[in-house]
Amino acid sequence: MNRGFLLFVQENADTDYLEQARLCAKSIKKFNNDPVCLMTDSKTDLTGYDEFDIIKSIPGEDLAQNSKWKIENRCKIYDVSPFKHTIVLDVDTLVLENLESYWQFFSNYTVFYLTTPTTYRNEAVKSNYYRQVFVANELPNIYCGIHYFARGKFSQQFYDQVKDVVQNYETYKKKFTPHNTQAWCSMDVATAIAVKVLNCEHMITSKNSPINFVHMKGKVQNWKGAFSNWLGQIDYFFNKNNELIVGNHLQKGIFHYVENKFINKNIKESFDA
Amino acid sequence: MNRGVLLFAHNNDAVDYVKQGIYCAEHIKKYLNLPVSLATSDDVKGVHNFDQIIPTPNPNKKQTRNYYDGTIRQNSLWNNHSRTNAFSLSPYDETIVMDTDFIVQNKNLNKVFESKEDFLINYKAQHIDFESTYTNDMKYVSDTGIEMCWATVFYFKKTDRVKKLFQMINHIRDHWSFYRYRYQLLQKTYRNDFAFAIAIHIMNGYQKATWPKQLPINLMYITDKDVILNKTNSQWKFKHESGLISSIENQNIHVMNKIALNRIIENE
Repeated sequence: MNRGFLLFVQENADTDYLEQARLCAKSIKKFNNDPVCLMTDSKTDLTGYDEFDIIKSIPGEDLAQNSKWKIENRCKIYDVSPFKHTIVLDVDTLVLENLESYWQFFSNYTVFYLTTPTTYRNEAVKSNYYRQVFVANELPNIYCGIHYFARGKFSQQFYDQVKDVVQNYETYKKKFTPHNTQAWCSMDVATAIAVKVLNCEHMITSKNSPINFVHMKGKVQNWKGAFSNWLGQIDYFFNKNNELIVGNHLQKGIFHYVENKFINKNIKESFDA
Repeated sequence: MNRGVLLFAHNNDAVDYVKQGIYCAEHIKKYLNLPVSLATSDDVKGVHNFDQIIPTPNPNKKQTRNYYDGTIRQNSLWNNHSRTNAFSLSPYDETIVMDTDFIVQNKNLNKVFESKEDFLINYKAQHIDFESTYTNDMKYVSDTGIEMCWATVFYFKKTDRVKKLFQMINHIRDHWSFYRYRYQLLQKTYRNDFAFAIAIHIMNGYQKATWPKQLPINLMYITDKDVILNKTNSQWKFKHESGLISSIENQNIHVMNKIALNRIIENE
């Protein structure tokens, strides 16, 4: 298959990632005709989950056996994707428009990651609050919330490197993140280390990228108040045109809502309509 | 196309806005050479320089605010509700509306008439001490809210779009408690800056847009906590709340210390 979206879900005790993935897939389908592949270890009977065109299991050894968060197996996306061109999305994102212009931009790259998310007010995020390990260790400031890869030699090499970092995180973290070391493995840090090892930041990012996503972590909203949870500060709703309004601002593109409580009955209904 | 400036004045116990309007009009005529109309609920007694006086009711009878003169505070009625009727009241095809405490001291504002835009307003204001940082309090209507604009000075042509904008502003004014809640405004008092910002935001589909553009002037101001030390010709000298002393010449200035401004006017 030529191109499509890939979502990763490994069940954990805290969060219903499958529900998030369903909503994400429905939002993709609402504006785009491209297929959605779910990569999962879910034991749920997925019969009738038509928002997923392809369902693939997580191959190989479970890298998340000792992990609470269980994101480690996401490093296998390159092995699993059935597409020549893949956009990978965090499942706690919503797609709010047609992404044809994204595909066109990504076609200039083999692998592409975003570095400058925006707030709900469509301003560049200024705070490094959640990025101390990146700043302290001069890691490339990449975000895995949305990224792209095309099949090829470099992508294979790149994701092999990501896998190696995830599988040997204890070693890599000591060498590449001696300051403000993050004890657990996150995909953002693991991928940033891989970028540094391969010295390929210039190949996979662009400071002038017209592509972005809205990042709803509370402390990066350029607020004076230091609020951890955005849901406690501003409201959101779908208007009569079924557009998402957050804090009185119309949202477009890709909306990374972060907080699980964001999903409510109204949100689900708006994508089922 | 006839062009002019529209001022609003509703006197209260603290400030003689009509007197300020006469002083403001003197500067407008000197530097911009434009006719000036005054919309007011007060009697304009004696000699004045207005081309037209437009009687307009004062719809506010209860909203108050604190007027500072440096450290001295006085609470008085704040009659700022009629400005939203500028579109219907203006006798001009192209209108500049300004606060009576905005003192024109150069010709820069005349550049608005070279613009093809139907509405111009400032999104930024600059304290003249250049030390006060441009904080979120100045940039947004609230910490989590939409971008601020400054209704101190604005320009409009009588287009359908601008007519709708003023209809929206009037609607917001008339349903202020709802919009104040909806837009997370901390203060209860009706404020034109906020109503204009909300209306523009809604007209633009709840997002930032390229309309309206900025006025061709920087909106320089002193606050009501700053004191006017003296004024000679077009040179003003201020002592700021921080203790800093500054002066300006040939620069437009929004003198928010209205009580001190009235003292200057009385002494001239």
